[in-house]
Amino acid sequence: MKALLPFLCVLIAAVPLRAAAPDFNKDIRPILARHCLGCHGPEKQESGLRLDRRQSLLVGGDSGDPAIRPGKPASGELVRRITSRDPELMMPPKGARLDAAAIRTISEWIRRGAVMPDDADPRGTHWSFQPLKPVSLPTVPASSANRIGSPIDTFVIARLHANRLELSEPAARRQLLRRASLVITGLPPTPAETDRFLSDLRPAAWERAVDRLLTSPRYGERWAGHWLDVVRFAETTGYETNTRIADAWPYRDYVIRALNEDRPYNRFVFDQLAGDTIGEDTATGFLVSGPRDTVKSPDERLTRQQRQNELDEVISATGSVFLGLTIGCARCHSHKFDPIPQKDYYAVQAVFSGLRYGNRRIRGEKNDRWQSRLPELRKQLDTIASRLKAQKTDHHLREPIDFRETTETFAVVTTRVLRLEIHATNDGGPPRLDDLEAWTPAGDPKRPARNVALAELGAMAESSSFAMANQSRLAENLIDGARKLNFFWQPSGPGRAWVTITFDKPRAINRVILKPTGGSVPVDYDLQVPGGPNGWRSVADSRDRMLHPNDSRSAEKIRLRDVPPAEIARIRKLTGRFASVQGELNRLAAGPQGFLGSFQPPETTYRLKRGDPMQRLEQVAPDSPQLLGSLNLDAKASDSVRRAALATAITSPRNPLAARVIVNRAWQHHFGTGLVDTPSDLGRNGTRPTHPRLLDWLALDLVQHDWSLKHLHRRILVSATFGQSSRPRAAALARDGNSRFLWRFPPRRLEAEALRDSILAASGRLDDRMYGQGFDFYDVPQSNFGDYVPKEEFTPVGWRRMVYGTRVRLIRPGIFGAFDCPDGGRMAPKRSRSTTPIQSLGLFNSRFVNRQAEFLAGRAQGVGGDDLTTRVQAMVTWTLGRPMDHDERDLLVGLAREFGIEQVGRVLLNSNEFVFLE
Amino acid sequence: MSTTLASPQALALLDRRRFFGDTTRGLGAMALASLLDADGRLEAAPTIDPARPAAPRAGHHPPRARNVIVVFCAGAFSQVDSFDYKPELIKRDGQPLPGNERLVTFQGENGNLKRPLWTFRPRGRCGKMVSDMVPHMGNQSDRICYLHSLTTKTNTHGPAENVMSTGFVPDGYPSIGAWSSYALGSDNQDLPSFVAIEDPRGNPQAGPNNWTCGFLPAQFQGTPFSTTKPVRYLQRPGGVTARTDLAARRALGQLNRRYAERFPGDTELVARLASYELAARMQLSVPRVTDLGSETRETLALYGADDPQNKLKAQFARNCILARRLVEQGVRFVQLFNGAYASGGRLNWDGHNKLKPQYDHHSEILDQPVAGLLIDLARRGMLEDTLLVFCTEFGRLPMFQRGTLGRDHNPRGFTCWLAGAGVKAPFSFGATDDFSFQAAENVLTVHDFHATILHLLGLDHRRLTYYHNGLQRRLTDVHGHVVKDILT
Repeated sequence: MKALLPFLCVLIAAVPLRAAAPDFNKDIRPILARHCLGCHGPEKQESGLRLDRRQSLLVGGDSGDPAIRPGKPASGELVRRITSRDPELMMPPKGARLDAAAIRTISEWIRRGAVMPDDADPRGTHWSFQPLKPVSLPTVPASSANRIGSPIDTFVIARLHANRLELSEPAARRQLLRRASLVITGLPPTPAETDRFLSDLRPAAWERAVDRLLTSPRYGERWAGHWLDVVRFAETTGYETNTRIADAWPYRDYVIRALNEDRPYNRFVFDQLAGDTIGEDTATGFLVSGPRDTVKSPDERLTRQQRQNELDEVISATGSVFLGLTIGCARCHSHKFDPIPQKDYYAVQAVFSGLRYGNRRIRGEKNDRWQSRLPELRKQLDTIASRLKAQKTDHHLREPIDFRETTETFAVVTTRVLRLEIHATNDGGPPRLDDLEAWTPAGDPKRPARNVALAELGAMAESSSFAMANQSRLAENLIDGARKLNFFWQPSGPGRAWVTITFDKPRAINRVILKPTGGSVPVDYDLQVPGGPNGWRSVADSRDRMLHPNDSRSAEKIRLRDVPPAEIARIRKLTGRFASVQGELNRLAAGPQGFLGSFQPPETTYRLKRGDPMQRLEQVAPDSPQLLGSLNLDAKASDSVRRAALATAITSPRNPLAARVIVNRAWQHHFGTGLVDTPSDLGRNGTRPTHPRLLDWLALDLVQHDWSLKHLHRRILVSATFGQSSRPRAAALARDGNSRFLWRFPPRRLEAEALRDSILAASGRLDDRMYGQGFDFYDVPQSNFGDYVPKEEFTPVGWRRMVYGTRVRLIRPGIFGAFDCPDGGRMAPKRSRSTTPIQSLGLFNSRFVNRQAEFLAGRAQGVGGDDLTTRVQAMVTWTLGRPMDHDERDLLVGLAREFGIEQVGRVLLNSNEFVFLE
Repeated sequence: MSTTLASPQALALLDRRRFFGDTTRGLGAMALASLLDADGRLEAAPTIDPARPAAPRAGHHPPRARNVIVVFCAGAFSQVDSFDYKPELIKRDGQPLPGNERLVTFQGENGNLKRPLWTFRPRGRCGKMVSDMVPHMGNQSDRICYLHSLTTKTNTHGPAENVMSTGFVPDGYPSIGAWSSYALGSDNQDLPSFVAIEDPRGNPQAGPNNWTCGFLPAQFQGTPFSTTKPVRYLQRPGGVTARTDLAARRALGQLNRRYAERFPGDTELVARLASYELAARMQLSVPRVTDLGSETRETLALYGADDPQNKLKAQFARNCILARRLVEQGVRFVQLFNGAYASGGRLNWDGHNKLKPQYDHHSEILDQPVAGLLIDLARRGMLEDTLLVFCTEFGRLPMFQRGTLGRDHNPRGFTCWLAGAGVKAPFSFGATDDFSFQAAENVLTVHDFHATILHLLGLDHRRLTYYHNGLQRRLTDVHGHVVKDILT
């Protein structure tokens, strides 16, 4: 590079001053097209560089070095490469080189500011980045004018007309109600609801039915499911340990509640990014809804990588979920398609750099109530504590065991072997010890005291047994000289246990430290050395220590030296009360908890070379992606200020993406496919909308109606487009096989949740209790490695709606997971819709479905008594919502008579008509 | 091997669908294609017939391998002690690793170099040096193409298993088996196209993410079963007789056919109809393929499936035989796990603490059955178009960890091997440094490994794509080169 500079100077000095700067299209593009665009143009972007995009030129390719700096031709990579003679650097690497005139023209163009057509404004000309403007309704051919039920229809009809298609006839009313009910509530209408609608012949009957559906609390449950898919919410950590997160469900409840109360969508977005700043604590579960690797290591690279991955989850989710922008693609290099330089990624990372995965207090009325009880409990606790103190003094007992770290000192003893015999733990479980240390005496300045129970000094450890689990629970862990996650000793079961440490040679020791690590703690033990009648002689034991409040053994099992049983019972009663009051105090003081993320002072954020956490480049200040303008934040802005600023920018009226994205998502769950069928990517690599003007009209309409999603639903539900038949027409199929232009309501298979909920509704067993701790699809794993075993039987608790089922990452729940349930690993803005024999096996053979079929048959008994036809008809009504025809009656009643009526239930729950939304 | 899809009634409906179908979906697809084309993101993705998602499909070029069996050693198999012979390491036993004296890795600080715990000897006609830990496999070296220079992106088990099975560190990306069955379908419609056979000791660390379909449609998910663990819901419910079951099935078929007549041309309905018939045939074909009753005593002995002393070995050997039987039946991709989750090295290859006794135990289970599989495939002529892959998530370090008798994780250099269709043998490619510490020559990434396996299946890893959240996703992300030097 140095060698190149003189040459460049000469070159640039030689450029004659011209009146007009070179024009990009006229002068520059032809040069680039001839030499460069084959590899760095619209088709290919080698090294992530595209030379006909100003943004790409400014940001540079994967190297992160700008290709041009406007005004400074000598300092950009472009001129450097086209003038270089170094075979490693020179461009183009093969073929004809640029001649001097071309290089002069390019240099002059850069010197004059490198003006390009899509200059300055990163929004360029891409449709979704343009501001929302009022859209006039298209004119509709007179023949179709009578079909218009909503402004939506004018757009759809006009588009159909242009493709020589037309709407189908209106769907039958019974069909329409079933469709809307499944779409809006995820459940079929009850027979009573159907009857009421069919007999309502007054005007606006449909509008009334729609209003009833939208006010049903089942609506929030249904649509929360869609939202939780998009944000890949789950209640385990994912990755290899896939551990349960007990308090994640408050976020799920927030989503259901917010949807049911029709919280304005802009507020809904703000809540999830910065709800803590406005007292909406449970909403921030969004921030920590992604998977994370919890296996910690002293390896610096791994630790940094894990932190980067944690933050990546929230950066990518924020971009994709709210903006339809794949910001995550700019982690290692600038975005290949959209105007998102790599710096934007780290600017957003800086916004979230105060976020930690963990629990947080849920403030509010409940928390206030809890806090108000604290003074009283503290007083109670003090009283019990002073009585315990008196007992300790009276009985000459030492301090109780410290559950974190207990030291026993004794007269110096020289020994090769140290033995710990454990007679009991505080709660009867197998003890967990992280380390067992044996210290040499202090006092000699030349030989300071040290722990000699270390493997690296040649010590060895053995134990009565050890537990099988992650990373082992071996005795060796006691002498590894460090407190390390997952590395402790634990015997294979409860009861007595022992450990021996054999030193490299006889050692003089006078102090032993026991380091428990959560779980059960040894409370009755002896420290021994060889000798005595049984082979071991105690040098210290625990039985002259005061009882620990968390020692939950029954009084008769407790041994305290020189304390009579009656006194032990008295002490035990007191410690029991102390523990329960303290437990309650701690619980209330911590307040109600949710896995909602905890917030700390922001970390410093750096741009990382190729996303490598070990290669830090410059510091980056918090900001929004440049597409949204700048947040103008102070580099020292607090965590909550950062998040609130980004949240405000996302839902600012100046940002058109948020409204376009949510309108498209809502459309998708009515019709099966969005107007844009890449719902989390409205960028250049996404698909274009089938009805761009409709999408914009709806987006603006949403904003103008206070971002009300129920308003949007209503708009769609009362449209003729939604209300038309789903039957195929050969001619239309031939033109538009995927029904993307909506010449019919496209039929589709129900999602897993709607299917399971519908089965339970039909059998009469659906438990419609809302909110709170969910139910499990799996038995709790034995190991701490998520081998979650699907339950075969569900108690009635498991007959709640599926949205209340605990979502376990990596695993698709039992029978219904096979119906394309996402696994919580990646964001799932749309589900695939596959058909497999595994689905059929589960739905036809599983205990769950067959049991529900029996319930369905049993329920019919209550209605039809002994009359088989009446009973079968009742079952058809509950499942398919209609009367049987003659042939069906013969078929199903015949089946019931010969093979049992529960087989009719089994058949109906498996039938296409039940499983499909038409 | 039946490729008939459905009953005559279903076929009649299908034909009608095809009538519309080929024009319809053709035109529909064209309309969509023009929409997509405008955005320039039309790629060479396979076209899936929704009524026959598992139908065989052509790849990008003529395949060398029709089927793949992957033996996955969960827990990180030590290349140091098995296949990666390093005289210099033996010589410098007990000395510090030059330049990395106090290296901190996954579990902390490392001690000095430790020579392999088994003796290496020349094996096969080619004389490949393989240790006494895996003599049976070693003796098959004439059939094996060793890759000694694999590297991976992470040094923790679950994420590294994710990388080996899906190409990505995070959860949720499609596995190589899912990509393969998405691209190629299957030659047998009565069995799943992708089967994951779990180790008798339990699930590997990353569990079902090893055989996940990720964001691909659910039909490409691996179906987990083994000789000891049946397919769930395969059999009719308890208390239902065969006659009753058949009657219910018939009634369902009738209802569904009547319903489908109201929707002529709708493929999803026909596909569901067909899926029940497929399920019924699977009820027959799965027990048939998992029943090893027809295997000769000699075959059982070859794999060690008759070992009365070592029950785990016999069970794993039976899983190896099952893998061969599945491929014989045309199953596209079989993943065969050896080793379960992390357990201080007790249930898998994670030898941090007491590598020698643990590996003696594990290699006894692994060695003969895998060698038996290789021999059996060869003598049946199946190695012509079957690729046998031996892999693990990463290797182990040439040092012992400070204070233990085992080795920590090594993502910088480890050994995998290939055998069979289209691969040179005997052959060794790539190398680590003098100590088996890091890959030094012809360094390979897991992406290269995947690109090569796909290539052998007739697939171009750059063109096998699926759109998800803003990108045409690939198994190999934006990386990977086919290792041409090892192809015949």
